[in-house]
Amino acid sequence: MARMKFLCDAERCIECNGCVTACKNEHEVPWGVNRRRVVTLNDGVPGEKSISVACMHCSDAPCMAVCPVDCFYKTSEGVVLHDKDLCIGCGYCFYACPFGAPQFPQDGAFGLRGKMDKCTFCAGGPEADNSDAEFKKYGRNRLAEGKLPACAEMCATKALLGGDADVIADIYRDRVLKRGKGSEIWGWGTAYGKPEKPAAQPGAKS
Amino acid sequence: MTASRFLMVLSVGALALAVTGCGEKPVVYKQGVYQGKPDSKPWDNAQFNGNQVEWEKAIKARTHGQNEYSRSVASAK
Repeated sequence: MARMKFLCDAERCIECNGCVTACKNEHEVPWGVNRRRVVTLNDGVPGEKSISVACMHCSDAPCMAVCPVDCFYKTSEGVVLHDKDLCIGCGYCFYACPFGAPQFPQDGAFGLRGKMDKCTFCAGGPEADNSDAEFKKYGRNRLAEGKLPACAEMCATKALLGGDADVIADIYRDRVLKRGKGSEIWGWGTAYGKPEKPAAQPGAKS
Repeated sequence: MTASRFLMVLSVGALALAVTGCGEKPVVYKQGVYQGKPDSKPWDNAQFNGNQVEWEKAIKARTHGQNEYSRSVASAK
């Protein structure tokens, strides 16, 4: 059985926010709730690195451990999901999550905190597959359609990979071995090719 | 309706009312155990008809489709 995971390649992520937009569009996520976001370190500085972050569907999920009403469950594919009918919106999971994945819709004059919402790995929730109730509460169930999460499939540079952990780890390993490291990844040689013989510089003495 | 029949119907009704609570199962909270509704498997739908192998094949094909190195090799052939 597959263990579904996300893997983000920081060398490839160009901070286009395509994954964020794909997620928002696919699930019609309300304003103020971001199931996925792009985090950039050293923004604006040469060598900045970006990474797309959402629920990582932890094998030993801390949100599941701290939930006082035990509304979390893990599917046989390793996807961490929750029942919104049980969730009381206490926010414990938000404090426990190392990725800041749980989101809480706020509404009304007093900013009333609603039930928790998070990335479902496009696997819906505990409602009938692809039903209206499932879509309204959890978003689209792409996994039941034999598809992968929209964010990973929409990623233009394929920085964000999603799917069976073993398979995406193989893809990433293969990629790293082929592209090399350091200046082999990004640089003049990669962009314009590496000439066999460097062209003679004008004015250079032979 | 005679008085005896009326009494009998009344007593049967009262008995049924009295044992109504007996069928109720006590809800016991178990810590650390999921308390919500059960979820169906992703292959238990009209598209896959419960065929887990077909579903896994579809997901695997999609996952491998993310590797553009293998795609470029396949297209070059």
